[in-house]
Amino acid sequence: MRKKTGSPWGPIAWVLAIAALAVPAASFAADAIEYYASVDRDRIAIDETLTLTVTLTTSSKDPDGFELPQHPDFEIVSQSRSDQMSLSFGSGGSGVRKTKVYTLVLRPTKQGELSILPGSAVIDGKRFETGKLAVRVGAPGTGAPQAQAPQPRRGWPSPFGGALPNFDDDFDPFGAFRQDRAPPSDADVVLRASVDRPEVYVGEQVTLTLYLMARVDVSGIESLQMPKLDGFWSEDVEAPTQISGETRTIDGVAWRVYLLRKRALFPLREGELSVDPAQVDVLVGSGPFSRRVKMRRASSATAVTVKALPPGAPAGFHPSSVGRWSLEVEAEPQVAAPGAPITVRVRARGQGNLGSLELPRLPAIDGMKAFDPTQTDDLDVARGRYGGSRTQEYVLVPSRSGAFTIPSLELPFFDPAKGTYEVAHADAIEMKVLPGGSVDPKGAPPAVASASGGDDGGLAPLRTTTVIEPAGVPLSSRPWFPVAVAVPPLAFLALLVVPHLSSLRGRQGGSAAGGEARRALAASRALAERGDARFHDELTHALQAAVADTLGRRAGGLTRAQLAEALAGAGAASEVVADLCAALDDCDAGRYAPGKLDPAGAAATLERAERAVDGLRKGGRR
Amino acid sequence: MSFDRAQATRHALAGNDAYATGDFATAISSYEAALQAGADSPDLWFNLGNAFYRAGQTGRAALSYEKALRRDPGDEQARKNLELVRSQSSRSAVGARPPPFLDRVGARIDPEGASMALLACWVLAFVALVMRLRLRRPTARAVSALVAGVLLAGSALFGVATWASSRVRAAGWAIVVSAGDVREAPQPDAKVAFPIDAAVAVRTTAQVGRYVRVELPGGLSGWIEAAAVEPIDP
Repeated sequence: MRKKTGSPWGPIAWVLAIAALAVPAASFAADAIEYYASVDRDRIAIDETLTLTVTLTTSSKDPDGFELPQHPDFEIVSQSRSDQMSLSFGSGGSGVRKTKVYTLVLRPTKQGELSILPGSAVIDGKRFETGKLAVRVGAPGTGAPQAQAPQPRRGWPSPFGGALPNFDDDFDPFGAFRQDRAPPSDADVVLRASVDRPEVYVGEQVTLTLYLMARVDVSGIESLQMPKLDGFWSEDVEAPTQISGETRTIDGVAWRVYLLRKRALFPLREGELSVDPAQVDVLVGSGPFSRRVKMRRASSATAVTVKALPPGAPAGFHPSSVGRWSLEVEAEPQVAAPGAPITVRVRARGQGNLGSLELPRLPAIDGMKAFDPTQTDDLDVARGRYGGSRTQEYVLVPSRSGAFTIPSLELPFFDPAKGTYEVAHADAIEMKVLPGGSVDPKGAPPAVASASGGDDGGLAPLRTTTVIEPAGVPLSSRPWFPVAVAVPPLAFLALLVVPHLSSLRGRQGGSAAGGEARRALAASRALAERGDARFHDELTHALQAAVADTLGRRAGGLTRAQLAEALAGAGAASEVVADLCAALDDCDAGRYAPGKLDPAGAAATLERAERAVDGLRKGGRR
Repeated sequence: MSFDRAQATRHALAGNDAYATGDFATAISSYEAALQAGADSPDLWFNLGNAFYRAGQTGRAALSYEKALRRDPGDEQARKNLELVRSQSSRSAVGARPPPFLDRVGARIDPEGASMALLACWVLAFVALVMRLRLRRPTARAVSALVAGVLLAGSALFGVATWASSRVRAAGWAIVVSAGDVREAPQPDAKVAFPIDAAVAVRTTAQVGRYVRVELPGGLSGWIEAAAVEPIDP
């Protein structure tokens, strides 16, 4: 019969297979971090700009320290950042990679050989640096042409990659499926910027809306670059975090229209203001047989004619107060005690450029100490019109009793809808400050009470019975804490292990009681052979020593039942206990009914006793 | 820092007097002097928060209330005042999201109490285990085993609580003390990622020059001048 033997290559094949699986995983981990910078041109003119692209790719972890490349000889024209996260699965395992791409458009400040210094990132204690980049800056008109972005391939990349000359690189086995999926043309994807009105007053809202219109499948939108908005104060009205499109038919053609951004612009100066083109990267194509193509689209520039405000502005008018506003003033409480704070809120509500709205200042009131106001805004965008309320909260503290008046306040503004100036009014408020102790507690908290018993404006009151404690080290940070946690398990372990060790020692070398039992057993055997009547005394001694060795204590005075229970608790087998008790009973009978030793009975008792002692030594020792 | 109880008490009382007369600037300096004298009680931080709030410094008020809550997580008045400050200073959606669940739980746990309970349960659990070994009666052995099990489970619970409370204190949480712009890069001319209000809680993760990188609970992140944020835990 032929003996079946394994191939010697079998284990090697397994090792290679495991290595083949492990290597991609290791390489993924090693390749997980990339930090590099590049410029689109290394030779430019002094009046041109270059684009510095800095890419940081990490696993999911953020860098501990991060610094972009320094560019002391360049000024930043614009800057943007895009974040991408990718999840990869494969034989090498799965992993998350985060890529941050910083795009800086730089303009040189001088001519010559200029450098962009390396940036650095510290990740997991390792320092990564981008390389140093050299740029030659020449006189105007001497720059090199901008690097062309690589053209997308017409087909899918060949799996043979041109390594075999007879294979066509552009061979596309799925071409038949995609004949109707040619790369989209410029007319298929359009970025459109529009303003809701071409002519506005200075400070009047004009809404800029950015739409992406597409006649092909759009699978993603990346790095929307908002236009420069020189001459405008701008605020977001809508900035969707998830882009969803709706279908609209324009001139008989169905378009998917995606709202990218809606922004309220408030012109800061009169004249012809332009809104530069916006840019966006669009990923086109989806589905199993469709190639995803990234396209950059730019909107056309838009102009807004800004009219000056008409003459005849009322006194106190601030140029930023354009819109439609109402004004209100409230004081709380209106009856107070000297020293008790009174909160006065001046609030304007309406539509317009809330961010630059100037509220009327509360004038100084004789007998009242006023603190600098805090200002809060509550934004409200209704039907695309920017607005809300702005509140200034003053704290007034009366220094004497008497009657006080918060004078009426006015907020002049220009209403662009009417084309006229208006004035929002708030009526005067009368307040009373009564001498201490005579204030109605419901009306106003007295000064001391406001500090000790109650505070206004919903604030929980001051604590006058302050407990003064020193700064302490948290219990878990104290050095003895880990020791205190470690002691109980160690002590418990010691309790478990030490008796076992002594038991082991007893088994190896023999404990005192165990040795005594063996010696007494040997002596009783000799006495039995001689027919000596002291046999039973010696055997009783041997058995008691064996029991003491098992229980760890002397067992004199125990009844048979107690002894049996104790031995059973110490793990002795029931047969062993039965032998022991029987041997002890024989010994008691021999000791308390003396006579001539019966050799057969003594031999049987001795044999029983030896079985019991052996049994105890094997299974019952504690 | 040495602790001078008499001096700290004197400063704290002076702060209370100044607050009562509406002199909030003096109240702030007095409470800060009490802290300089080594005092570190939640009451003192609470009063300092009130004084900052009254002085219009909502960011520092929020920071003081957060510090009071770190020292006494059960201080409902400090929590209420903190919510009031946040509701008045937050004008944008930024910062409206709460911190992660584990951090919220950790912030609610008193680390001292959790550590003491952990230690007590742990020691008693092993005492019960020893009794389980020593006792002979089956009923007593079963009871001690049950007690040991309960105490070991309690130890695990309080161990997690201790870990969670120390984790949140080491997570780099800070408060924006002055409103400003969060930028996309640690440079003064970098693009503004988003504006941020005072009193917003952020997590600081890195520092480059005079900028720190901050992360908001909602996932927003960027760089802000280091002077605009103050750590809650030193």
